[in-house]
Amino acid sequence: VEDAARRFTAIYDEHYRQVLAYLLTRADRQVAEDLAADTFLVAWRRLEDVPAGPLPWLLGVARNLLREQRRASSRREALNGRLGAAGGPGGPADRDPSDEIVEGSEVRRALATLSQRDREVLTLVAWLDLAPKDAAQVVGCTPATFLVRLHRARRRLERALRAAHGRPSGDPAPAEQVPAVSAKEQPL
Amino acid sequence: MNRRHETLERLAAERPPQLDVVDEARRERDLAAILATGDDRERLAGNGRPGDRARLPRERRRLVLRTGLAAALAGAVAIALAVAPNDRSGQGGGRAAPAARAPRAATPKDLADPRSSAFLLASATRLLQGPASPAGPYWYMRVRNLVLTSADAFSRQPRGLHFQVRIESTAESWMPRHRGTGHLVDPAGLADVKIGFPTARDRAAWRAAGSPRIDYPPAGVGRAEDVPGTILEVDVPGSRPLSVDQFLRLPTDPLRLGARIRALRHVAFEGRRVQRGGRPTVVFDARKVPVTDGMVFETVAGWLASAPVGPRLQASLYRVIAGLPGVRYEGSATDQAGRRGIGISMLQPRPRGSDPAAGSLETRLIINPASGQLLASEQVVVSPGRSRASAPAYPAGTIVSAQAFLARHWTDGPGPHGWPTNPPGTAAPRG
Repeated sequence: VEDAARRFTAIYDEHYRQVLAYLLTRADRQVAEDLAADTFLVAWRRLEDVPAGPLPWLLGVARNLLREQRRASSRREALNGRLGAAGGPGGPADRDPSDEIVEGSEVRRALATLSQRDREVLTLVAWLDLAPKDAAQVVGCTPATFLVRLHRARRRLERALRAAHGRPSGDPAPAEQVPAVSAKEQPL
Repeated sequence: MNRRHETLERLAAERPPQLDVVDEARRERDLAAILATGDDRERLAGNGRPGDRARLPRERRRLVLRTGLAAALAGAVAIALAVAPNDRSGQGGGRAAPAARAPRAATPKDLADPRSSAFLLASATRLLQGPASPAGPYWYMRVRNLVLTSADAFSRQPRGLHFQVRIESTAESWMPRHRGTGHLVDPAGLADVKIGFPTARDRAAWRAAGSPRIDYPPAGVGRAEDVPGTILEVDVPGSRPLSVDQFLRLPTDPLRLGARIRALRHVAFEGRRVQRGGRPTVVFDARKVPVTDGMVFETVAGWLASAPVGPRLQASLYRVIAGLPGVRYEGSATDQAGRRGIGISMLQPRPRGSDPAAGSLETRLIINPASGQLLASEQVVVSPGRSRASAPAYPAGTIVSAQAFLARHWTDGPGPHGWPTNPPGTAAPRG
């Protein structure tokens, strides 16, 4: 157990910041901190399964926990809606809690107009500095598929930036269909 | 690294600085909490689908620490017992110092006292005949508190007041079942705050010090406040707290419940800070400890006092302690709110490594024999401390702190007029 604790503590010390940073791109700080703790709890319990170079694995776990948490909170909100509380589109439930992270500069405002999916792909590479191979593992697709997604997301970001400059582009971003890439999740 | 597209470089340059902000204290607490689940790790390793249920207890702001009395209570008891002098002959004033208590009944060590057992079992039955508890998103408690504490305990800065005060007040709290904003009103009203002195000697010392103002609550503390980002949890002494869901899933069969309590207390964790790679971190040593009957009673009494127990679970908790040797039947007792009931008590376990000369306390539960409801929990001096210091030791029988439960149930939120508040100001001793 002592060896396990030592190995785990090394992983925790080395990767906590990255895991938290990833979660902060997708959730508010309180949720991000809670889920960072949960991510490492999973890692501790499954230490034997944690690979060398554990960051993509950790981010994959974090991503699954985030999705699970979203599902739980949308269930709660659906319930509230049925009970007559405000919960329609545009209401608080519709707002991404990480919006404030992407507000600010021009490029971040443009990022904010993209889908959650595009944002994730872009920020994994640009803000978390993951190689496409590792980012692919996080989102649970092949590296080739990831590169396609990254390419499309980048194009949409560029279009949003142009739109912000008042230069109308031929095909407005919202009209474009999100490519039908199969979102097979990485097995835990 | 691979050369990235210009747009990605531009995005990378705009990485929000918030992403690098780490609450280091939180980071360390989480590490400690994760390592503290040591036993689970061994048990769960190799089981399928582990990640989906794994949860650490959510960080919460400790509501209890903001309630002046509760905090003082913990401190005061420790002070009173740890640094007790021998210069006190034992004639206490106030209702808290009954005359010589009857010698302890010579019950065989391995058998439960038949009177306390019978009373607890009968009370359990009464509880189950009572009304079902209401539902709601907040656990509400209204408690009349008593504490004996140093006159300096509520001062911003020590004023060198070497006497004790006796403070009674009522507090209300609403703790959310799901993470949200709790609310605390302490004291619930200034009119019923009573500040006095545990002994005539303390009153004389106050007069000799020039009758300084002793206010409760001290300016800027207590009263009514929202506590955002909190969640109701159930404390387990020496271990991690339980979530409400975990708590409400406890078995209600008394044998299994007793076994669960022993299992929860069996592994204690002691953290120590070490430097690792130039960074401070916390290493936890798990220690298996023998679980004494006193520890079982301590856990049950704590849960009865503050956890969201419904009649079924409460009845089972009574049945668990009904089987413990060392639980004493004290007969008729009156709580701080003046309500009559039957007292049962047990010696409190001594913290590991504590000074054997520090004296001992017992926990007394006062139960309404007609309804089976818990009226109060009290901490009573059994043997005064004997170490030499300037703080007083109270004579045997002194109630050093007490909580009388006026209401405790699930309830709705703030309601149309918001949370209750109370008027500003402080109460001061009379006389």
